[in-house]
Amino acid sequence: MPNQPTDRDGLFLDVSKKLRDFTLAVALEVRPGECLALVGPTGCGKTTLLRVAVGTARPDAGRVVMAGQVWFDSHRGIDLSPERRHTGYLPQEYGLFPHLTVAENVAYGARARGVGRAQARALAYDLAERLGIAELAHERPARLSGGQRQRVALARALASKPQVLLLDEPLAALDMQTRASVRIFLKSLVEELGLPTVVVTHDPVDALTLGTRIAVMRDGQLVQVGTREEILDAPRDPFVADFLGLNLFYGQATVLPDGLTKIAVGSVGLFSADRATGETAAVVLPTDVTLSREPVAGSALNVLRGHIEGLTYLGPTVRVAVRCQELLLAAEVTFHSAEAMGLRPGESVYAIFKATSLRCLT
Amino acid sequence: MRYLLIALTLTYLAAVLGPMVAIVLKVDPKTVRVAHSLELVRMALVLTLKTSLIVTVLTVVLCLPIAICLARLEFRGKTALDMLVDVPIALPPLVLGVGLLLLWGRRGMVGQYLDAMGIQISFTTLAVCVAQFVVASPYFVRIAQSGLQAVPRELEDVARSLGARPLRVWATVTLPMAREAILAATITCWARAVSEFGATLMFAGNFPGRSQTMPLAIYVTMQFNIEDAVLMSAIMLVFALAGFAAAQHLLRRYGRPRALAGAI
Repeated sequence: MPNQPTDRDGLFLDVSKKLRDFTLAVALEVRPGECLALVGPTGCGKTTLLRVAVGTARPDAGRVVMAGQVWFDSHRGIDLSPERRHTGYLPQEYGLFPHLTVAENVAYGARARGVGRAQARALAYDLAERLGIAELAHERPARLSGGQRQRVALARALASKPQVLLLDEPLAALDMQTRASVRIFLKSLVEELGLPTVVVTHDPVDALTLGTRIAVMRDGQLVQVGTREEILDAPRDPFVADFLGLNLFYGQATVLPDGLTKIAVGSVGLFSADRATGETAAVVLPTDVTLSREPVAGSALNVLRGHIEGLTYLGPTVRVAVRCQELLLAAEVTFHSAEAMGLRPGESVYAIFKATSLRCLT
Repeated sequence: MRYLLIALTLTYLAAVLGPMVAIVLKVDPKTVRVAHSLELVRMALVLTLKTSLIVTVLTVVLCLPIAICLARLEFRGKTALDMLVDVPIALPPLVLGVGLLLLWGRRGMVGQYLDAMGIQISFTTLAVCVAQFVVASPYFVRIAQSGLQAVPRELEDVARSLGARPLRVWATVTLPMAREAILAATITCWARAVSEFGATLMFAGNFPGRSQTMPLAIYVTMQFNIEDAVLMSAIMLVFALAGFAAAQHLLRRYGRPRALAGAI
């Protein structure tokens, strides 16, 4: 039976699969040019969902359709093998073949699909050039840094002309220093390629940076799907609020002579250790914000005077909303500290956080 | 603490290497020329080398797919099969020899029908091979399987997503990455086949030139001529050393995982 044409040109998934502790049941669509950040705690079924799209995990029921072509349909008994789906799949830690050189890794897909050796080599060098890893062509993966490995894995995936990019924790294997720059690189590459892209992450900051849309997942179910603003401004339930419960600011960024970034949010100036210029969104975790009665002269650069608008009790911790001029800042402190400081609505406090805690979403 | 460890190591080495040193010290060059059993030794050596190599090649061909199944496929009764492969390792080979005789001997459960057709397996060179195979191949399966299992599954998934069919994934990813373990398994299998004694004695007998391998020849000679037995033991020792040296060389030369030629 020929594949039924649909009007969808992106990736469409509507699948269920019984896992050990819960059932994965997800319906979502990712259009070309869209990057869906699939975020949720470890073990919530994100990786399995990617593997369902790749074709290495088989759903119990449902459909997977890519650009009108049916990849999986439990009713019609269609299950295209992974090698016949064109997915650009990066597993966790990138899955480079350790016994092959960078060039051989990148050329692998073309060779597997029957392209001649010389032509595959040429294609591999073109892509390596494009991703800035040409000089590493003869290295083995063990000798590469995390960022270089990611580029090799991306080049390898792109060499087989994928219709969709599926990235599993692409930033988790990187240290904090390279993470920000790799994130910027990845974001611009994904935008440039314009492929439907799914990025799996357990890190809210990565999700907010990379995703044009964000899907929050828990125990195999999608809790909320929406744009960054939709999710941060109107979290559907306490889980989403708690998981993504970040302070998000929009402002004008300038780089200071000492390398720090100053972000003007209205009349408030904030300092960040991430480099950014122009219109910028920046986030700080509520748990990174401390409260004090005095303007403590410590190492933290951001010391904001404000007054308490409200307190939300979350069990062992208290979320304190602090109004600092036009900024509304959430700080999460222990119940014990809140009691000891005698925090009450209307009182004035200083909210303090380090420049390294304020992350720029570029 | 440090001296205790050194002392322990030295004691261990003395215990393990002592017998070998004793053989080397006891070889009397004068007996070499008068040894009446030189022809016997030659036949036993050739037979041992021949059978052990045949068995090793057969094991790799027949048992690699089995190791692959055990390493990757999920099926009912896999745990039981997994355990059963280990049982021959734990049994004295002599017991396996008894079992082989009961099964394939002239009056054995299957052997009697073969005998009626004029085919005899027990007490032939074929029996030597069968005995060595039954004793040595479980080692191969066990070692190769653990090596194959150590290859991360995501790598195979990625290879599939890049367009490689399962067979190609095996040839270009799984086998090259498990190469060292498979080589080690092959060497262990060969070493075990060379030193096989119990099952061979039971099932293949002790006929010079037909079923008398080196260990059997040494055992027989020991009963009436210690000097010759010592000399033969020394030959066996040289044989084993040469074998392991060759194996080391192979491991160093080919143990590093590479794609099979032409695949990339």
